[in-house]
This record gives sequence, C-alpha cells and structure tokens, in this order.
Amino acid sequence: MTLESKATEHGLGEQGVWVLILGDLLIFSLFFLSLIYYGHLQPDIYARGQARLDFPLGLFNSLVLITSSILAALGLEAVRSGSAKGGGFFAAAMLCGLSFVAVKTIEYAEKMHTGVTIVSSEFFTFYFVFTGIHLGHVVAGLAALGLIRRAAEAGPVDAPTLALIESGVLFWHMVDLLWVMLFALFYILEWR
Amino acid sequence: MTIVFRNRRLVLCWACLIALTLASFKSGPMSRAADAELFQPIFVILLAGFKMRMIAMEFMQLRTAPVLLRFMIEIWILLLCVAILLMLFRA
Repeated sequence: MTLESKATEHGLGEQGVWVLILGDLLIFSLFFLSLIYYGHLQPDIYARGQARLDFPLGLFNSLVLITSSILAALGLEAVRSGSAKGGGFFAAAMLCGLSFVAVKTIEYAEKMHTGVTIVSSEFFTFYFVFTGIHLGHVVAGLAALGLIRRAAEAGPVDAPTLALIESGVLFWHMVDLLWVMLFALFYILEWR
Repeated sequence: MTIVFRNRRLVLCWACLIALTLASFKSGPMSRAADAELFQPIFVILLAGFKMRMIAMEFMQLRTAPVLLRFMIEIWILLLCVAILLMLFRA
C-alpha cells in the first residue's frame, strides 16, 4: 500500500513549514551578505581567521549532513510506500545529525582551548554566531527527526501524520541546504 | 516501481553532492592549485548554488512542487549567488 501526500497544492508538508523555511532562508541571506560585505572590507583578518579553521572537520560535517539528508528522504519514501523501514532511516539520519553536533562541539572546544573566542576577531564573531545559530537549527531538526521517527514506527500512517513527517524532513533538508553555503563561505572561499 | 525509480534518483543526487563536496578540496585552503585569483570565488559560489539547487529540487522535491514555490526558491538561490559575487567583485 502506498500513501500519497494530500499537500500537493503547496509542495511537501504543511503550509506553515514553508513559511518557516522561506523566513529562515531570508534571514540567512542577510547573514551571508553581511559576512561578505565586512569580509571584503578587511580580507586579511578573514583570511587569517579562516586559516585557523579545521577544514577537514568542516568537510566531514558537510558529508555527514548530506548523508543524513538522503537518509531522511529515503525514510520518507519508505513511510509513503507503507514500509516499516522508515523509522530505521530516520534513526540513521539522527545519528548523522548527532555526529555533526559532536564534531562542531569539538571544533568550538578546540578553538576556545587555543584562545580563539567570539571576540577574537570580526571573522570569529561571524563564525561563532552564524554557525551557532545553524547548530541550533540542527538541534531543532534532531528533535523533529526524533518525533517523526516515533510517528513512523507507531504503525500505519494517516494523511495528517504523513504531512507532519514531510514537514520534519523538509526542515532537516533546509538545515543541510544552509550548511552548504556556510561551509563555502567560512571554509573554502579565499579572502583577498 | 515509482518508489524504486525515485530512490535511485535520490541516491544518484546524494552521490553527486558527495562528489561535488569532495571537489571543494580542489579549491579549498588545503589545495596548492587554488591560485586562480579570479575564478576561485566564482567556482566556490556557483558550486554551492548548484548544490543548494540539487538539495531543493531532489530532496525537498521542489521538482514536483507548485511552480510558484519552485520559482521562489530557485530565484532565491540565483539572487543570493549573484549578490555574493557582485559584493565580492565590487571595486
């Protein structure tokens, strides 16, 4: 048995989650543009700050978040097809999300251990604030994944529950989407 | 059948995203080849924009979403990348 979403008139999930997503995307746009604006004024400070970031850890976190996204997407497909595997996919996505949180915490701790804090330079103010806000989104996304995992494992899913599961998965994809640009701007872009 | 096809498409998209992310080594600070001053920012921002579009279209299923919603997200990604590049290359 397959279950089709009734929410096709506004895409996946509940309409409200799209309002949340579009609002978040706009706010993060301002974050990205302010980082570029100030980085362009003092590229040397930003280049020095970037050199102190751990590129392999940032890359690892990117790979982990992309993998968690596909696991969540496969979980949704499993729920739609009536398969019992949905909960397992969501649990695996949560594990990836927890890895992201753990690695980010290690990164923060390592920075602070070497005397780098939020007030060390303008670059690190942006770094800690923007990645910190994103980390808050990851934690909220993990809570959402936990809820939808329980819903998926509770048994047959009706249309309203499916819309809720879709909403949680959408939020998780948005977290992944925002990290793509954060990773590019903080870890890869050469400031000059 | 549709589910299997869709899952294959998702896995293919994931593989592309992983490959593109690993390709960032080529342009990242650990690479010695990243000395093309002009093209590095363009490459990085366009690659990020392309990856964001892939996530939106395939994972968030905007490919099959209403046109207005799809249009809004695609325009947002495009405008964001253009604005970032314009700010990076302003005099």
